[in-house]
Amino acid sequence: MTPQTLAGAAEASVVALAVTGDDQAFAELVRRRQGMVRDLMRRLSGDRAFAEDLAQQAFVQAWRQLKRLRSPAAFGAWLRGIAVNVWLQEARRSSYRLETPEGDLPEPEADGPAAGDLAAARLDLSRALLRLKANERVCVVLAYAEGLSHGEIAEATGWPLGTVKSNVARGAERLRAWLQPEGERDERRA
Amino acid sequence: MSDELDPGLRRLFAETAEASADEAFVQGVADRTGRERRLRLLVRIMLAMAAVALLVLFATALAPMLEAAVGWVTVLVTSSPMGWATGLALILASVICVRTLALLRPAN
Repeated sequence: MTPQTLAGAAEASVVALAVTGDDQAFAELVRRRQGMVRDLMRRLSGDRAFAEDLAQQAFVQAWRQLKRLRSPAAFGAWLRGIAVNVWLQEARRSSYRLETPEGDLPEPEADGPAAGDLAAARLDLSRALLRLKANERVCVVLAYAEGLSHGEIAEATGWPLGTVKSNVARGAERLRAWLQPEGERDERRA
Repeated sequence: MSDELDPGLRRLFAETAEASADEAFVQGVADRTGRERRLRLLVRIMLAMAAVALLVLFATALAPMLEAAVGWVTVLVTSSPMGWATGLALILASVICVRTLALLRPAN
């Protein structure tokens, strides 16, 4: 299959081809799913360069385990599970790096003057997320950024449903509390 | 999604989402998988070489015993009609052993 044909093919067909060891098919899967994995890693780690490295690690892990994938149609959820595990492993290994202390947080990476507000919002959210505990952060990001249900998060992380529910609720509560003063300030300014 | 989520937070997450897509990232993953494939190949070659070396060592050690066994079976089989029968029985016993062991192996 040519790259053009691959680009137009259904994902399940591309996955089936990648399982046979087709490099171009796997590259097409990376092309299609990089946005989801990179955004997830960026939200979880708060560090762009580190997130890129983790996202690549997740794809390499997926490439290694591709033959174990039972249903090509479930590739997206399966890949997300791998990405979450890659991050959790990293969180366990080097918690010092993922639990960023106050005052050592990244500067906004604005794409231009017009992107200032958006960059500020990203930074605020990124800072607030980094203050959450690793397990709360995973649950909140999967629920709010990825739109997963509690059951799906439990499946992706391997944690009990009750734990996931309380992590999402507690994490969201903390985020709200930390982001609240910013909102109030904006209202007063307006 | 049926779980209740804070609408304000949902909006904030949606607004701050970044859809990254570039070929440099795809190439980066391809480089890593290529490196790993080369490493795997190297490990396989080294394992094969180690297996051959072990086989040669065993063969050298077992050669005299094997030679003696082959000589004994040859003499037994060619010496008399009874020997032929014994040889045939040995072959049959081997086949039965192999089949039995195959049956005992757990199915996938």
